[in-house]
Amino acid sequence: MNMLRLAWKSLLNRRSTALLTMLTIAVSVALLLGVEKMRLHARQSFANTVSSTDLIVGARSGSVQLLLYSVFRIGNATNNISWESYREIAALPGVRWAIPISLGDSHRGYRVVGTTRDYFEHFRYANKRRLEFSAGRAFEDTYDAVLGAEVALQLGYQSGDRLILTHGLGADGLAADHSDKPFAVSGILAPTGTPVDRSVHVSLAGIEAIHINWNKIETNPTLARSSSDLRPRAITAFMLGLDSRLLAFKLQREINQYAREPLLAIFPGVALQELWDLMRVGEQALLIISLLVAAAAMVGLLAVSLAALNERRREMAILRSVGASHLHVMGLLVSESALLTAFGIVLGLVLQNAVLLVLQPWLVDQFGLLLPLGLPGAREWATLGGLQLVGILVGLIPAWCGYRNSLADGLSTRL
Amino acid sequence: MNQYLIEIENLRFSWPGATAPLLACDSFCLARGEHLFVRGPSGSGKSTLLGLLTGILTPESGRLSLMQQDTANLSATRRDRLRADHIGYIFQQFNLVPYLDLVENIILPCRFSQRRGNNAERTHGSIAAAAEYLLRHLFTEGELDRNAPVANLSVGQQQRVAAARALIGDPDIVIADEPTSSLDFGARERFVDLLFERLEETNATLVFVSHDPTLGAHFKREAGINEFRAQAIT
Repeated sequence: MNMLRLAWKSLLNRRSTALLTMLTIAVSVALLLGVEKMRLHARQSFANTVSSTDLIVGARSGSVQLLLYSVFRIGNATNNISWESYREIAALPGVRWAIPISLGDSHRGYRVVGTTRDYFEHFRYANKRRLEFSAGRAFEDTYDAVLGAEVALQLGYQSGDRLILTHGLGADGLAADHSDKPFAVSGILAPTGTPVDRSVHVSLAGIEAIHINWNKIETNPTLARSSSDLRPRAITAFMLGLDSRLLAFKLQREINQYAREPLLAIFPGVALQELWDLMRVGEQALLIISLLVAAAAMVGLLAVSLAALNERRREMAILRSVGASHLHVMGLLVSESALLTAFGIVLGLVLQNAVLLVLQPWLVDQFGLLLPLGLPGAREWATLGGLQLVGILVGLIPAWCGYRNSLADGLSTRL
Repeated sequence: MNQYLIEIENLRFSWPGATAPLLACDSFCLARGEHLFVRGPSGSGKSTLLGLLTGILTPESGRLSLMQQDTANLSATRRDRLRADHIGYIFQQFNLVPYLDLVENIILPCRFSQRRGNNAERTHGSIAAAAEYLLRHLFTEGELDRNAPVANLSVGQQQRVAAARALIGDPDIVIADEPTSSLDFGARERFVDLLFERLEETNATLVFVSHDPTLGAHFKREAGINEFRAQAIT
């Protein structure tokens, strides 16, 4: 006798409680998978953000902080570093390339990155991929801007369009606009899935230019455009690519002991690891909460199964009378818990994807986190397999009680 | 030679913790095709006797054979198999599994016993046809709403569905525990007549337990529960 079929019919007969139990399990599954997915993809997308960069150098602060503002464009630098220091370090033997970064301005909520054309040449993300242009080309003129894919998409810019940068990072305040110095879009980058998509790139000269006469009453753009005083005085940070990895340790020590000003050089990978360590507490808290919710769902399953057991003594006696063994009776009860758990898991997968579908735009917008829809990975399947196993084990408890009942009842017909 | 389907020898049975045995029977046998009426009030050890006769319980001492097999020598699983293959059982009431439909309830024994499934197929072509045959003989045309939940059937109809379940696949022994006590007089006579008709057909043995002595008139053989008890009750 296939007890699964019988269990299925029995559950259908009690469909309202069965559905509620299933829903509780589904919610816990969705939460569990959501937390796992967030964890996994946050890591992946963070790790994808920078590649092939050996050292990141900025003013002395925390290594995580430097990593966050230079690469992830989260938070702010406490201090700038001088252009002279940058020039000197970039010229050291063994340095293959250097990309200066100057932050502090924004355009309609997107950060502006002052840099050089080396950025498009040497910057790598994900698996050593280089930046590609989907339209136009790198900036040449002082007032050229290269937009990240998302900036162009969200704000509807095309090559040649004009845009006005804002001083600071706030939303457009009239007083802080660099409206006297509009920029023109020279190129748009292909999507990368990194903070580059949400950045506006201009030349260091451009950054200098908009800050000339800043806060003074008379403005004269034609004057500012000219000449050599667009040489930057300070930048926020720079990235270094070296000829050899081995050199990195030596260079890091040299930079950290740099005499002219206090600097900090970090290995992106090491800083990323520190970041994980910081996030681990939060991750684990989330994981524990979702596991507790799953445990609560399993207790709910147990409560529902046990509560129904007493009214089902008659049903068990009937099954025994037609030849069901104790194993059959126990199999029926275990099958019910197993089925409820299995359907709960399936419903949970659907629920998680549905919630993600709704939240996806917001997550990308707020955290730059693109969580893909679809089935979970091997690790999550293992977790779900574990939950299914717990569902079966939980079913053993009512099965044992049912066995005790039918042992005591035999075919006698109380009720 | 007469084949005894149920044989009892020097049987003693007591529940754990009891000082004296509840049941005691030195010699008893029931042949194929025999119909036995067991008379006794509730609480007289009837349930215990039926537990023994269905292989749910085993004797404390002595011998109880079902289908020529000493139940004490069989494992619990073998006794369950024996019950599935050879015994049809009718309860006093609430015979039906509420989440199965009418036909599913009737064919339930064929799902637990290959033998009864095969019997039904051999006689009627298929298990469903066997159920159909029994329904046709236990109910009048159009009496039954096939699609209604079984809980909505009247008690009399439920008992007849239970009889169909006990009879499907031609079990050798049918045991009925007060099957008519929740029926009114007319329904009771009709139920017993229909049951006997079906039993004649397969030459099955019947053990019919009831507290109602008037039913005894239908049976050739009758016994009081006292014949199985260690101490007689009056």
